[in-house]
Amino acid sequence: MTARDMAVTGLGLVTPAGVGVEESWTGICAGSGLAARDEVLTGLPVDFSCWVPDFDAAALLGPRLTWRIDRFTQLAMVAARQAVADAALDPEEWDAPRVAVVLGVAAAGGDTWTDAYRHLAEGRVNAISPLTLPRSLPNMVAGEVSMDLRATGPCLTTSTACASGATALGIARDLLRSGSCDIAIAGGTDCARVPMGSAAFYRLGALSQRRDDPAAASRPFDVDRDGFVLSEGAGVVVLERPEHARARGARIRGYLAGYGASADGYHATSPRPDGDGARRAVEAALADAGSEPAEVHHVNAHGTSTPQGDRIEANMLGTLFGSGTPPVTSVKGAIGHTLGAAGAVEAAVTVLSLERQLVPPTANLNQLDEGLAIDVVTKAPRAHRMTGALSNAFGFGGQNAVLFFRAA
Amino acid sequence: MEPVYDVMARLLTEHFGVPEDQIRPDATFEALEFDSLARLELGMVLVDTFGVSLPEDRVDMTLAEAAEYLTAAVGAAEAADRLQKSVR
Repeated sequence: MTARDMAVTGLGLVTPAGVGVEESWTGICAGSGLAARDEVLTGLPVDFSCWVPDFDAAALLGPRLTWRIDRFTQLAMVAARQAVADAALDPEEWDAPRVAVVLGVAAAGGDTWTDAYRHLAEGRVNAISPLTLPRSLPNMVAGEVSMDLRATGPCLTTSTACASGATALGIARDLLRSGSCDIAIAGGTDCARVPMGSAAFYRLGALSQRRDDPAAASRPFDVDRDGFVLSEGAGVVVLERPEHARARGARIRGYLAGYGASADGYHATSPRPDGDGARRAVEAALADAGSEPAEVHHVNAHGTSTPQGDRIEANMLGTLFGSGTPPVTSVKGAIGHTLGAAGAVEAAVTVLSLERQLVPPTANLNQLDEGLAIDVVTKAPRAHRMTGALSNAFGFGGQNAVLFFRAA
Repeated sequence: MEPVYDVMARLLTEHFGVPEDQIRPDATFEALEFDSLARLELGMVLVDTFGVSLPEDRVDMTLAEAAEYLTAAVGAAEAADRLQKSVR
């Protein structure tokens, strides 16, 4: 640990592997793809996705919040409550103005907009809910969580597409470093698993077409990968300065040691072919942590399962680490691509990997694309000694965010 | 036809998740924690269901009073509709 590291004292996960940190970890480590035919997407060219099973918002959050807030906010609220409970923090007792909420989201209120557009198409303007905006605006996820937890410090939403969740952790870390807060609730969430989301990503050519076998559709780094699988979920962490965490006797689960951000400055949806933007984000995260590539013992890759994105990331890692690339995994093989949540979900999984000295497998990776010179963990979790790990997140617009964690 | 009160009670349960045991004729919307946004949403759902809504300034209205108001308003709207058709 260095003086600039931030302690991770709480984790919360709501993923297609389950509602809860242990459920998510166990499901991801099982190494099977969790995508299936999705009734919501019936009739579309890509009619499968990953979703959070048994997510009963009324039971988890009470009836009032089920109609007041969109699903992307519900997912985040549940994950945030988990993270705060895991950190043994009590919102009734904390110094509310010193608690920040920073949450990332890419697509935001898909469910709400879908309803509103349907009414509009039918010419029923008065059937559009007056809550359409409070439910769907991206900022409302941080706003609603701040109300729910009575956290009245800085309250922000980050939006860097599929890097949004990782960006949120980085910004939260900066708020702690600047002294703007003592506790930061940081993470990401998304639910783009709606007809418009599937249709739009399909038209971009970004989704897997494996309709005959959805569970095997998301296959990061596999020679037969053909696109990502739309998913939903949320990941939230509690960050504190280590002295603050120690003073209250908190359990420290790991340290956020470095954050690096960059832009490709290249293309709306394609990463730079030479991986320069991604590499600079990794290098910035390591420099921020005062670390060298040799101190990276594991990489939780962005690895979405698109032919181009995976190749560019793998080549970038190969260049950076040379022949000794550390074990790499992508959880997207199991839980699909949670978009704005991905960077935060994967950051939480990276902390768990360091804590348990275990790298989860990349589901559906049967044959590594031979052009990729990286060591990807497959089939089963791999026990591995590690003190430092990277979590990569790259978004449309060429926006990159990389986090470097140290074991507690 | 199903009484307006029963339809309203069902909407409060199904759309707003109000526990059934709280839905009583003498309960007010205020007591059911309907703030300004919830009342806006309720107004929309009532218009969608009955074609009419409640007066906006009556937060202390009980469910029985609301049902009575809606029943009268629905009747008036139907009468107006019939009148318009006969004129045409």
